[in-house]
Amino acid sequence: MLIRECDSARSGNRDTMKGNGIIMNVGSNKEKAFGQNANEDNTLKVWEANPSGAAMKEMMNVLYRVSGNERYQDSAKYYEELYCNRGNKNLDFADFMIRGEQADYDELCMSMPFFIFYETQYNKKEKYNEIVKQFRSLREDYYDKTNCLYSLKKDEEGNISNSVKVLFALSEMLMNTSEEIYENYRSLIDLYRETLKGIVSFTGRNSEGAVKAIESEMDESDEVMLRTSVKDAIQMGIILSEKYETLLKNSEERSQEEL
Amino acid sequence: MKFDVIYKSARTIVLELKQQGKYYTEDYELYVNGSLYVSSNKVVQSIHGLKPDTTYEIYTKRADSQSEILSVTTEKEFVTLNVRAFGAKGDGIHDDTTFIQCAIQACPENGRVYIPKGTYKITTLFLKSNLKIELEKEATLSAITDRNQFPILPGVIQSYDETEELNLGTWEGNPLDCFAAVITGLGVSNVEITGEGTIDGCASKENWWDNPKIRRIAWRPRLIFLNHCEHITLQGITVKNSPSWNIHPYFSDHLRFLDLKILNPKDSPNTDGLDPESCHNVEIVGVYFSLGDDCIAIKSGKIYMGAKHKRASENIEIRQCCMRDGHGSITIGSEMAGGAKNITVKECRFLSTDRGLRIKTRRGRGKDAIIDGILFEDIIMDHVMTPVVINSFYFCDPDGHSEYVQSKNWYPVDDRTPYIGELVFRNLECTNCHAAAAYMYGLPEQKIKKVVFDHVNISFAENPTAGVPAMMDGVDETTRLGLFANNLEQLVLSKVTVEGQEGEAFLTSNIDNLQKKA
Repeated sequence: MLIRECDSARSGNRDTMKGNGIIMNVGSNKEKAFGQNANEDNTLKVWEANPSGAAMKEMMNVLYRVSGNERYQDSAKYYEELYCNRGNKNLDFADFMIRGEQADYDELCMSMPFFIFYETQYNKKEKYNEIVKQFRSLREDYYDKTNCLYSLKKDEEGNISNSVKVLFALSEMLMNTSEEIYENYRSLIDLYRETLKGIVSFTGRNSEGAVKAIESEMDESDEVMLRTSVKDAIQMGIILSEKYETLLKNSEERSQEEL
Repeated sequence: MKFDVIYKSARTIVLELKQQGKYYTEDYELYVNGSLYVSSNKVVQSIHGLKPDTTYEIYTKRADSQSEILSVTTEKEFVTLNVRAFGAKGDGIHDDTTFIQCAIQACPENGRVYIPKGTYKITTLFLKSNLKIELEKEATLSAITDRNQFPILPGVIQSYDETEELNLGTWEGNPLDCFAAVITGLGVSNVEITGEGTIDGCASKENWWDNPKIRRIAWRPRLIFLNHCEHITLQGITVKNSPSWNIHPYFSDHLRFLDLKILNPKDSPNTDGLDPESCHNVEIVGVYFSLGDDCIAIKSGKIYMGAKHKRASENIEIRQCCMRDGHGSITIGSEMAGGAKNITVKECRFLSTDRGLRIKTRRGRGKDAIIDGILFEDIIMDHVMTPVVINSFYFCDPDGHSEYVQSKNWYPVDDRTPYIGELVFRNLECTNCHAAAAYMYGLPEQKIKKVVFDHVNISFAENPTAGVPAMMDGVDETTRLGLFANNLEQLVLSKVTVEGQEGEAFLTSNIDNLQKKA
């Protein structure tokens, strides 16, 4: 299930989160900020101005995961029901995108976890191929083969923060992908491993430039997403825990330093 | 009446009568050292209960004839390890797994693990190399059905350097976590499991077959699973009530399956009889099947495994077998992305199965999904719905009904396009068919290379039951449909008769080279 209890949620992690370009810059007042946008029934006011319930639902899911506040979970369920009970209408790729077919990678990262969830639960996984194809295209266009990180725009230098967002989206997607369609499931795993290796390679550098880049590019929400994603991947058996202990430790140390 | 000795061990000999029928033959008597051993009507007959390193004189006899006397010396044997001596109770109550496993681990080369009469409750027994296990008549390995007690074989375990992986578990062509089988071999060689006993999976709708399409903890176990094994022989035993496929050799070579019985209820889910997957050099002789799914399904993985390993199932001979009930007598696919080559089926009897030969492929299986060198020879079919089905539009997988898979229009040949090469059907007698004489539909962009029907007689039942000859979009139920062929490069029909059909006997279209010989 997309909505589930995770380590960070169970421990009541109060880390701040940054959204993937949509709304998630809630900082230490995130619950307050959320509350201002919430209706009585826990739905979001911003929903009315935002056609992408999928993205919003995913955001709620993330907020729940890092805060442990069940109010976010309730909202996430609302969006799930909203999107998954649309009568006989088969939802399509565009239904999950705010800006339609012109979606950039930010939007893909936000919406695809819920799209794949929808496909798994309600649409016989028929569009798995399309979803995986989208992520392959994303890699073609935004993956900087020089520093093994994802960039914000085509032909730009890769950035660790962007890679973390892709990593997070991939682990979210994997949690909602049926392993029975193994070729698709495996494609996402391979993309995940490659993305993680790029991050490990970058964060593992001791050069002054790399340290500065991490400090300037990675904020606390990136660190939380990184740790959450890696822990989830370990739990899913996608990566070996002993290979990523240092990555998790270093990320936690950076968060401590930030505090 | 001539016969060959096709297998011998310290305790067992298997004979095969030559040119005496297809699985069944006229009643005859089998004599061992001058005494009647058995009256039989089977072409492949085992002799059990022999002593090691002993010479026996064997002959067969009918009212009108007697074979020559053959002198056969059994193999030597060092020691017998009776599982009772290791603590197994065989009372059908206590869990005997550990005791029997202890005997297996303790068994030296040229020794024998002996399982005497009794019912032994077990979960999983793991084989080791250089092992002989014998199940006495009325000895039953009876599987516990609590899935919480079964070990799990992980689908994929990554190597420490993250460059390779270990694949242990598998489910329907993908490397996925599954429960260890009741009998599990992992990378073992030189194993013989013989005797007259039974391995009973005890599956029912109250346990393994309840909600069978859902993974619970792990995917369902097989009854016998051989992963990366070599030189394995199964002889004589009965396997039944498997939680899923009965016998599943996987990436294994040099395998012999002799005089077995494989039994599952007609309505049991995914209970294929014997499914060699990416295996080489397999001999299946004298096996009786009665099942709820395909009797023999030859496989080589779904898309990922096929593309990664490119390991076809090849050099497989199926002889003197009887297939009863079930969907397909011999099926190739649908998980065949690594290909299937050089498969011979001869002197067999197919009774009341949905299809005789059933090839299931589709666009998207990939360029390594090559089916070639298929020979069916000297086969009797009775009440088989459709004797031959070659389906290039099989609607499996989530995209099975998509335009790409189901379109009968031409698509460019690319890495996703499967290939079907040459198939020969010779000396087939098919009576009381129901749905169609044959149904062969190739891809327009990559037609079936060559199909030969030589001395094939097909007739229909007087009161046929309607059935769908091929599971592809747009094909409805039929009765008495003639021989249908579409999208073939070459079709040779030599001395072929179709009788009792409705409409044309031969419905051919898009055949580049059609040769008909009366």
